Amino acid sequence: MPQTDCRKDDRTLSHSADASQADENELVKRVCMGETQLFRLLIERHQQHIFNLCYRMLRQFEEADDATQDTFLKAYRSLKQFRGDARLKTWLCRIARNECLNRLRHENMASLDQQLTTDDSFQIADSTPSPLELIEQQETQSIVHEAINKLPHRYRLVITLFHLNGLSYEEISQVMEIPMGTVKTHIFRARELLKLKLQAFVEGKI
Amino acid sequence: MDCRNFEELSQLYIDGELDDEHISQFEDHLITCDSCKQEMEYLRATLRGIESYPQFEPPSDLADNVMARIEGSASSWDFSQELAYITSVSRQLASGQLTRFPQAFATMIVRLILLPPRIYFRVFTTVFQRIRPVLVRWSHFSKTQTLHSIESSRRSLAKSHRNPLRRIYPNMLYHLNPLTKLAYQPMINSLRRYTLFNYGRF
Repeated sequence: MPQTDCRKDDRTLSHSADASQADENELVKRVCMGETQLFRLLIERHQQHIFNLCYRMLRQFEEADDATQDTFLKAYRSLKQFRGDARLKTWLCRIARNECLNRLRHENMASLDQQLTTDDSFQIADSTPSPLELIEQQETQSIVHEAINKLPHRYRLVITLFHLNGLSYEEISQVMEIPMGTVKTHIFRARELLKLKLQAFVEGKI
Repeated sequence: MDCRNFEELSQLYIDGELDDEHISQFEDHLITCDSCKQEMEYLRATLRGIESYPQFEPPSDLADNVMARIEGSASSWDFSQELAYITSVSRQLASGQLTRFPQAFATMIVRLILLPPRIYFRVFTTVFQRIRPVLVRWSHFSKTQTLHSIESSRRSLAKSHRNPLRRIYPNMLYHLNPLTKLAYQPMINSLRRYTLFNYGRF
């Protein structure tokens, strides 16, 4: 599976965000008027975010591919309902989130959850003199990644939306249909859980 | 500022949501309290771990697949959008919201006319398939069954010494649909005259 290191924090790109949003609304209008081929531009612009969101939620490449396709298909079918109040990205994230939740609910992924939680495959070298040096090492990142995979799906979703998709608290509250205070609590709680897991691992290891 | 509300403040500090006064208090506390300082290190390491989460490239044919599915669904008969439009216009008409009625009506007619011919064809075939059994039943009944029943009743009437007209004749009329009844009325009348003439009033 190819991986890229390029990561953009959209919250820091607020100047270009307005322009791109106007551009996107124009594209959406033209697609609604019948220029179907322009929808490909929208797909190409958002496919990475949506695919990664689906992959974080479903944790299976094929499933994530299907869910991403269905998300864009549903978005195309209900594009006339997009009023342009929110960003297109937020709207797409919301559709993707509903799609993933449906899949998690219907396809009985519970067995997969158990399989992942019992699979402790990551290993760390023993020759680590102190916690601070240990957490600087690259392997500690794998602990966090593994821990994210084991989080409950709503925590996994907020962490992905906030840190990887670069959505604001308000946008996440629109995507998840919960109050902004709850979003903050979810993010804090998720980070705290990850921190505790890292801490427990480091302290148990020494 | 003390260690008890460290958890919440540390997260707000990381997200840059604290004001200047709280920031200085928080930083002062970090200098003095070793356990909180260590907690902070762990939190920073966690965030570094989260931020380093790899982004995966979506499959290269994702956009192609979606576009193919969109075009595939467009080529099959999809009357839903037109139907939704017509429904919304009629709803607006019913509620009196539609002020520019002639324009909307004209648009609706034009949209109906501009539908591709294959849609008309599909509508015709669908409707025809639905009403075909009814048509077959009607035509069969009117062309064969009615004539046959009239003829057989006439024959049985002719053979009979008793008058069976009371039973057969009203039943036969009951089964005829109005159009066929109209078409065969002269024959029925002649039959009636014939039976009345031969068997008297009943």
